[in-house]
Amino acid sequence: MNWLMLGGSAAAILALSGAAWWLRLGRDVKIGSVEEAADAVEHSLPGFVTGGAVVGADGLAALAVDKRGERVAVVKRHGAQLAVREVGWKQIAATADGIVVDTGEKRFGGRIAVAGVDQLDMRRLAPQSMKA
Amino acid sequence: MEPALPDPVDYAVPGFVVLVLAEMLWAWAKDRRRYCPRDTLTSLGLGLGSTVAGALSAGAVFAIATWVHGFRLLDIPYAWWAFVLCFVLDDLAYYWFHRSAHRVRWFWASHVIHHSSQHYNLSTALRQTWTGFISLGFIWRLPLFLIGFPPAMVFFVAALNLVYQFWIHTEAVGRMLRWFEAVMNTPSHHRVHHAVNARYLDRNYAGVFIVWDKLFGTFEGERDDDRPRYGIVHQLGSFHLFWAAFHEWIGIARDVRAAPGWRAKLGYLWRPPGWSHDGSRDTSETIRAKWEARGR
Repeated sequence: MNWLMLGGSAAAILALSGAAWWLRLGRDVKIGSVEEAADAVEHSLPGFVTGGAVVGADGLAALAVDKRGERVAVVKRHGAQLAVREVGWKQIAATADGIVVDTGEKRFGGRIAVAGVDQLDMRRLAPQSMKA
Repeated sequence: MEPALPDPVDYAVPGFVVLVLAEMLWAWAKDRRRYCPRDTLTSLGLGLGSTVAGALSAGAVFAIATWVHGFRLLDIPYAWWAFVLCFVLDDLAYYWFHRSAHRVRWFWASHVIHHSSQHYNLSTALRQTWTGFISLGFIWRLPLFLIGFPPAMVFFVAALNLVYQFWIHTEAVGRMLRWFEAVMNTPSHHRVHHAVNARYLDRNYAGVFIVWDKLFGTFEGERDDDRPRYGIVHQLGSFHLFWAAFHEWIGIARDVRAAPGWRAKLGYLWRPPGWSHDGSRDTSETIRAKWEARGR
């Protein structure tokens, strides 16, 4: 390894990432349906059987509740893929713009907004679990 | 007199760049979700960092190898058959290194970097560890030096092994000729290895020859009815370079600090990823058991 190789490698990295951006790869990906959100959750959380799910109006996040209404998961768009976290009901709050989930993980995105989803939608998903 | 062997990786790098570009064009034509610029930038950044980290520790690793070689059982010459034998045995050593890297959390903390992308493309191949020296990945090759293979020969064939493993990180190649799939590690076999599907977890550790997995009972074939999903069980959800490089080490530190007693603290170092002293987390085994209980 020398400085020429290091510089050349850095240039190649920027060129390849730039090519991916220029080709519009992985752009404008959204959560297309509740089925897609449920599928992502069930493949990420062992034993989770989705009872219902709701996708934010902007397609950037979703919530899924298991059949018993006990477990809840948030789905977020991560680049061209979806990433999932199981959260507690206390981490979910209703705001004027929609539901906000505080994942407690800064690197995961911290607070994730599920736009256009309200408390009523959540009650429909899990009547016995959504308090307040 | 030892011959001056070239580093095959240096010669392969231009080929890596061209093939990544070609795969991007394939993705552009077929499915644009198969690449993501930020993911690519993270993968390649981790690759560059790994090269720097490897260069910094190379002297120490070579010194240890030379010291062990001093106790060698045989004097193996630089002959063509010795290179072939060394390549095969190095690949066997790689299998055990790789298996331990998935089954012992201390080793996993280093290897997880390679699995942390949710994409499976040629840029993923370059997503390599920065902490291989700390996690003692080199110890698996020490028996080769003890047998009598010269360190320069071992590092030469190890580099060839690394170059081989580049091209199998792709979805652009389906299944290959039957005889080739039976003997060699292929894109299909390695897709299984990178998948987080319960069926595929902790399978196909091979580097070049898939026969090791068949021999040691860790082989799983790719199925058309169970499409691989890539990444890690607890997806990162972040493109942060340093978080990708060190997150598992930070996780280990937090767990060890919070664990009650030395037994639990040590468990977080040497038990499989996902193990917890109170059984509150999932390992590959519990994930597979829950999946089977659900009726697959």
